[in-house]
Amino acid sequence: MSGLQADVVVRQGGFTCRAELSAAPGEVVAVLGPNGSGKTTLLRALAGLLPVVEGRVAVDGTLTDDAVTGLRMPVHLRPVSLVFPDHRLFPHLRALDNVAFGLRAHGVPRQAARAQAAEWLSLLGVGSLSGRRPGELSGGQAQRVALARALAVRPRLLLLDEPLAALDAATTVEARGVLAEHLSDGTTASVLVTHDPLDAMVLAASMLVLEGGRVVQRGTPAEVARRPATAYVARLMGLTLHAGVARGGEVALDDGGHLVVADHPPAGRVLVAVRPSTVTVHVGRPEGSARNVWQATVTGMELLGDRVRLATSGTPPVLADVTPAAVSDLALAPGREVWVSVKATELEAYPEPGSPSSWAGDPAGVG
Amino acid sequence: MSPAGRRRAAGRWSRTSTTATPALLLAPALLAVGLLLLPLVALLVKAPWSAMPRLLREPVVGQALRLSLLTATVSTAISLLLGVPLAWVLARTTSRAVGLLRSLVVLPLVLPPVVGGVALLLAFGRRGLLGAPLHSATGLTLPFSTAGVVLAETFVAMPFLVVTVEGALRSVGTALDEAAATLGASRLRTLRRVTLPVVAPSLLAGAALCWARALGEFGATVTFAGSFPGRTQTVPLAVAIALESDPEAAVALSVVLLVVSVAVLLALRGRWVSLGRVPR
Repeated sequence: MSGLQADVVVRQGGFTCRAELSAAPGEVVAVLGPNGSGKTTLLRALAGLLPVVEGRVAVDGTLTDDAVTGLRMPVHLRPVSLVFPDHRLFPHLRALDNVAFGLRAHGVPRQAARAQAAEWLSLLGVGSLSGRRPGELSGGQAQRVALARALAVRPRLLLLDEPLAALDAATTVEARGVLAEHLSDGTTASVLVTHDPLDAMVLAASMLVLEGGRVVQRGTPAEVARRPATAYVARLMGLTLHAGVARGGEVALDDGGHLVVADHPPAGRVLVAVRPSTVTVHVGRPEGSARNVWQATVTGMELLGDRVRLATSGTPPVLADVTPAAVSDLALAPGREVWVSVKATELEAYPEPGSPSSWAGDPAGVG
Repeated sequence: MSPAGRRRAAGRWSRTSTTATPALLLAPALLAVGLLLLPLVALLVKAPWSAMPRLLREPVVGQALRLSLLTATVSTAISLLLGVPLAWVLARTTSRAVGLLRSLVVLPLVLPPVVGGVALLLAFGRRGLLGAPLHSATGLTLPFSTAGVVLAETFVAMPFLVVTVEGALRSVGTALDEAAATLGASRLRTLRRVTLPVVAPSLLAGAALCWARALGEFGATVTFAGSFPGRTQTVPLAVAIALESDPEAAVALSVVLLVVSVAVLLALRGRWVSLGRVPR
């Protein structure tokens, strides 16, 4: 079997991370999670920089780690490249020789290695910078050189640890485009660690979410965005998440209040995701067809592009997106009493992962 | 208070509180400068400049200079060969035993050199711990030989190299080593192509310090190797002897050592203070 198959337990200090993941050649799997969730620990284990204490890892059909037999292939023999968040370019080498370094280590003669390195730099749009040292490169340029260096050795598994983290907002958009262009060449499986869901949406076909060293959700980015399994994932996707018990079309929420949903979820524990763009804000009690209407107080406001996101503290508390015009028309400000409404058809209700009801996935990722 | 008076007061306060040096510190600071520089100035003022060419051509002087350059260079080479691997081990190993080892191997930095010489005799002397079996097996005796001078200088000077290089390796960390490994470089290749080139400035600084220290070594050398002209009498030893018989020659040799020291300092420039600099 080619690509990556991993089912591992990794320990670092007192922290344990447990995850199962696989990626076919040409496929990009995104690993999302808050700081300290184990993303980097997992990635370092796949690269061989940390030992696997349980389970095994296979890359391109070859076992690289097996906790049972004690197999741990040396880092430099693995067909694996790692792009670090701080790039880690060699400061004493020109960009060209940074890229040629891996090829030289793989036995490519100097001239040929330099020629290939120059090609990779051109391919990534930084061919003119081959003579510069890392100290003379901007963050975005260094990121491209680091990616060229990792790709030049033609790894079977490419690991990317927050490759966009060190870049400013403008460069990130461009660098994400560069990644999108080069991550699916058909022979390399990629694992992308990020805390930005947009990276996952743009670059990955599937994703898994780590929290506290465990996989709490996996699926396509669209699935995860639509039905987040935890409050963290929901927040990441810009939704609010409410847990409760469904009976018929009505969900009694754990923290008080209830929401009417259009699709009858199976009776039992469910999650209801509320999308800020579906929440309407009114000054007086609204007339109309919305089945969910309640009173709330505006507690915060944030400008997001051409919308204003309101935080409200009703029962339940939700986020609501309104236009800047509405903010001035309705005199919205923190402390303002308002009415909010959501149509039942706009709510997404689904069984709570880990509850006895029908959850099809494997949230713990240990199966 | 008039506006002008207030301005004056404000001006006085802001100057005393931020930029001006208090007289309390200035006086001892100047005294310290005098203490450190006056002897060197005296050496240059009192040096027999007109007689210098003749003095430096004296056979004893030339012999001592050649011997000093040779032994200091050889002991620096040995220090590089043995000290760099030691620095690597000290910097990259985290066990507690290594912490203790670190304190012990840098002990010669603070140990009186004469004590070092005595210790060397007890270890490598004809009846020493290692010296006795060495002598009975090969007939070699290290004390009172040129090899003994090299040994004494290495003992005293190598810790300078080890401490300098270890500090640099430590501050560089393992990040680049990891990057090299993930690109397929073996540990040896990583060491050769990444680690050592990155710490090269500190390696040079450490080697220069080590060489300068070896060149000036006196106590351990005279104790362990004695002072035989042409064999173990290095410049510092020649200076001490000449001070009684031929003071002018002693001063001339001292000027030579001073010039070499200043040259080393210039070669290092800011390196000694920027040892901890981490490459990006």
